Amino acid sequence: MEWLVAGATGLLMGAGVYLLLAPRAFTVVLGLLLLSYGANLLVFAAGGLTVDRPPLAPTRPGTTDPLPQALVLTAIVIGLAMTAFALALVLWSARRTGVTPNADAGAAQPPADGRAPAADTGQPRP
Amino acid sequence: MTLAQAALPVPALAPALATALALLLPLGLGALLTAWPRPSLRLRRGLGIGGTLGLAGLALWLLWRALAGRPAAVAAGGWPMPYGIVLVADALAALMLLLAALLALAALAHAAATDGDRPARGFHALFQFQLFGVAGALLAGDLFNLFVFFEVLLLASYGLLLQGPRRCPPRVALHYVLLNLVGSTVFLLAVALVYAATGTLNMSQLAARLGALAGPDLALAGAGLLLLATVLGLKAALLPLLAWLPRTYAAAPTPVAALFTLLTKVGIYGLVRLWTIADGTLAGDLPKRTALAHAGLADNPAHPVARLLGPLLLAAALGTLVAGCIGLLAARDLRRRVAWLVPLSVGTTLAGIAAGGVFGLGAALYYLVQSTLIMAGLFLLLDLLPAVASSCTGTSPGAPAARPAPALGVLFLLAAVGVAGMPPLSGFIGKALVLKAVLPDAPGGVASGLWGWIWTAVLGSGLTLTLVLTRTGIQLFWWPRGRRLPVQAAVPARMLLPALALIGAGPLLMVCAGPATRVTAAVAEQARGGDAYAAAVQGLAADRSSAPWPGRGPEAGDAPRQGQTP
Repeated sequence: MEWLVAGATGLLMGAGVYLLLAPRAFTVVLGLLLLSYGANLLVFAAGGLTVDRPPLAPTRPGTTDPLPQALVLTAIVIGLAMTAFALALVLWSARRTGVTPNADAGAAQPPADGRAPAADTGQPRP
Repeated sequence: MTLAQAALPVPALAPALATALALLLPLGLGALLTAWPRPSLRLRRGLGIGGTLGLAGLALWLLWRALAGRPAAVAAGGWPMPYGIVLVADALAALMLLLAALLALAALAHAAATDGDRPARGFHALFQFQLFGVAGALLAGDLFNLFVFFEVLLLASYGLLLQGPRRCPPRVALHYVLLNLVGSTVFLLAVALVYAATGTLNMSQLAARLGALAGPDLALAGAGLLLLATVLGLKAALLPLLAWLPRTYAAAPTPVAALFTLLTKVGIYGLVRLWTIADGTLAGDLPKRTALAHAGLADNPAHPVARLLGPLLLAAALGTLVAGCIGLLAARDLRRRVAWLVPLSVGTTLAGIAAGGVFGLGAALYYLVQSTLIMAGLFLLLDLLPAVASSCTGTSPGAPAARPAPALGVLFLLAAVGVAGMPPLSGFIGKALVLKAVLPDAPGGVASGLWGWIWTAVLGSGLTLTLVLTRTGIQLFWWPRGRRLPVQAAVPARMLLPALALIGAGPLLMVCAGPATRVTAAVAEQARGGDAYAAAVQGLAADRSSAPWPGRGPEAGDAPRQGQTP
């Protein structure tokens, strides 16, 4: 059980970091999503892994620590909101600069003075 | 204290109510401004400024109470300690809250006077949510709620950054948001690791349990706390993680940029709290406390985590100072130049905190308050200059459309002298106090030859500041006789007043340096003593001594959690 959870957390984190380093905005958001899954899993596991026990407030033998479950619920909600915001921002940014979020960073690099990129990215500007 | 509470239930309720109200006021106003269908601009401004005034009043009262030795604490909803949300308004939190409220007040007044809030419909609502996040992060008594309130604060700051007349370039906003989202994830990881090792997230309990840890649990908790320090370093813009700051601040709308100068200070506040957790002072352990309170962070004999944290923070502070000087010299854009001042103030503050013991903390707090106010005033002042007001991303000085009004020149001179730390204004007093506190013969100063490095970095940054601000002043305000440009139309008093109030903090804090330094010294004493904080939190627990779990109360809290395996 411990190995399974630890492996899954590590896998999610590794994949998240890999995607995060990609030069595409949409991929970066996907990486953030995986990272937050990994973090949530770690928070959940922080109370110890107990199978088939009720999460009750007075921690007696025979119950699961309920606090991490409450924490992870909050963290999931926050993570969802943040991912939604990041996606909206990426889309807004793409519409403003006229570059699809999937395009390579080379094409997405606007000139240093903040003007919109040249028209040869092939994307119509709204 | 518990006896007094039992005898007089109603007066004892007031501080708890005030603490909760410091959160509920901005939250309620923000929600009201969001839900109200079409509030007029006057109403929005009135509500925003009125609410912020109320927050300032609450913060002042909480500070006064905390300085009298009775920090307010409240367990929201009456839930007992490891589960409930505990808010603690000790002197440090109340001082920072007061600073936040004053800064927000000036920023709102400026936005109202210059119509900066007109184009953006959600400006006032987001501003209140930002204050809610700041107040929550300052008052939160446990690490998880620190995380939650940091998220609130960040989400509101994303919104404020994207709104307003000075729409920032999308990439700047995107970088800021993505970087902070990664930071939030790391924050959550740190919280999970700390909880796994100690079984609590309450700061006071955590400080008590850390001391008893050993072996793998200690390694886990140490990793968690150092990750936490990294995230707080990102918020405070310390050396490896400061590249985001100048672009973001330069792109933000002016009132927002003025408020943002506070956000880095919230990061510093978090680092101070982290430090008192790591060396166990927040647990209020009496015999240990007196020895620890006077030890500098850099040579702290305490917990291994604190021993590791101290030199790291000091190195980061000095590196931030150097990087800030380089960035400041390289910045041609006027707004970005002012934005580069922020890391310099952070570096000086943190150097005093990391190397100077309790006296260093007091000096650093005095420096922090005055430098934050003056820098925010400088941001507001830039908005009034003709050269900058016309452009979107800020212009390099030298090509303004009109000559600035003479009053602005005087204000700029005051602000520059205050920021650069020239005598006689408060910046000089603050820096001198910080430098004095790190000397080896000062109580709590660094013992090794480290003080020379700190002196060099702080004085060097002062020299760079003087150089750059002189150059800026010449470019902005000095005109050769031959050039004929129209003098800028007179700036109305209501536009000038917020900037004047903030920059006036320099002369004011110079005149009142005695009382002000006494207050910050008392705040530092309480923050590093940890006794009052722990007493307030444990007073909460004692109120609910009927709490039903054995081994989880603060009385038995010294033992680390046992038996996590199934």
